[in-house]
Amino acid sequence: MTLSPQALETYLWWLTILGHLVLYFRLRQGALHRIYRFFAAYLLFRVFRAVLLAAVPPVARLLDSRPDLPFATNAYAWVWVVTQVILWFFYILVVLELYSLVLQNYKGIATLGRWALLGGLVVSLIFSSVTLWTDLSNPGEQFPTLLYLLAIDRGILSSLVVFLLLITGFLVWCPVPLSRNVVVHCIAYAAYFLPLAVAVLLRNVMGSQVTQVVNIALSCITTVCLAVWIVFLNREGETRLFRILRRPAPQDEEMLVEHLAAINSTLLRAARK
Amino acid sequence: MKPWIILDGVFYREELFMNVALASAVVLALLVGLAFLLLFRRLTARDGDEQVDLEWCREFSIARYRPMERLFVEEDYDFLAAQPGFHPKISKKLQAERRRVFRHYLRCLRRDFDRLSTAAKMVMLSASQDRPDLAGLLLKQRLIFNYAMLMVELRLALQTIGIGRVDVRRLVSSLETMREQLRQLTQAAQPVRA
Repeated sequence: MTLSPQALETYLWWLTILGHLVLYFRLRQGALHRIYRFFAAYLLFRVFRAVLLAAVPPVARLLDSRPDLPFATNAYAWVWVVTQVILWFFYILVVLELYSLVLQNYKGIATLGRWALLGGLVVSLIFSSVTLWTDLSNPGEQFPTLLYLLAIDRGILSSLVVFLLLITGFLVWCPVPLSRNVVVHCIAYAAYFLPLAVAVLLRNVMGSQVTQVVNIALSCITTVCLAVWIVFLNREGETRLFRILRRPAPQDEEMLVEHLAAINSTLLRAARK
Repeated sequence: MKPWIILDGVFYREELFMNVALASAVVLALLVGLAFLLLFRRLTARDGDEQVDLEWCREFSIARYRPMERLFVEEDYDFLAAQPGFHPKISKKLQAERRRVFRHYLRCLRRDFDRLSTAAKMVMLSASQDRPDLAGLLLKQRLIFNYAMLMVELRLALQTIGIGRVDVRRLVSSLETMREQLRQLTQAAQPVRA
């Protein structure tokens, strides 16, 4: 028995919703929902949103006899729009939460961490703003209002991808001890948001006829990401990968900076002659 | 609605614009994906038992790179040229060999810089107070280092094709003066109190 694309899309979508629920209970099992609060709330919200959207069509049929009631004729659209806006806030909060957790215990890099976060936000917003024209380049779009919403969606997702890239680069440059859970989160977020941004862009540029294919592909990717989270996120993964066993003496800082400057002086003299 | 360009093979201006937009986006996404892969590879490659080797840092001395200053001294080539049976090929061969040795020194220099830089970052991480001054110093030193390496590599490349020379005399001769100046600088950079 072969599944129709529509049936496959529906089954995969419900599979991802089930995955969100399983992951939430996995977090509770390891008491990680107290550490990754926004992430846990996001998972619950995805399940709630799915149930709500599934409940709208039957309710809307009841409202068919009362078109004078608010939102009666476009109930599904309104629910989708309102929950999508809330989802945008969750996307931003879960990413910011992760990096705040990483940097919060290191007073020595408090300002540097703020510079990195602010710099990442500014660059990512500029990038998204500059590339927004691509989403609006399809002259044959059937649903203009939806296109504008999806353009904002793609802008936010692209911003998050660029932000993730810059902050990950910062974490590579600055050897902050990372727990395995944080590394799993970084990888899973990148694997989730990058294809999602590309998928929304594809839909915006190519039109609504690719929606089904894009949804199926996205559901597959989401399922894989959820599986990674479910398998690798646990209490033991909160242990930091490495520690400084001996606190450096104050004069070590001066000595290190002197050595670095001595090397640069050597090189600059070689470069001048 | 006009058919999608790939399906009917006919080029319209608007569809061409969409094609370019789409192709650019896909290429950019692939590049971003590749960048993520490289970054995550470095993140996950960190040794769980990595520690700061401050003893090595204390023993480090720029003087170990003193031999570099002799590598491109003109007198050596002048001496060779004055010898009976000299051929320009001998000079070129010597230059090539010394460039090879010089590049080896540069690799060691880069490795030592990275080790010192990592140690300084670890000192910053373990600080009990916010240290934006130290962060600024480290960033500045890194930028200067990258610039200086680029300039040296450029000089070496030009020398290979016979333009200019790399004179590394007096590379480390004023080390004590510089150390004193830096001591004054780091003492002036007081930690920011929370």
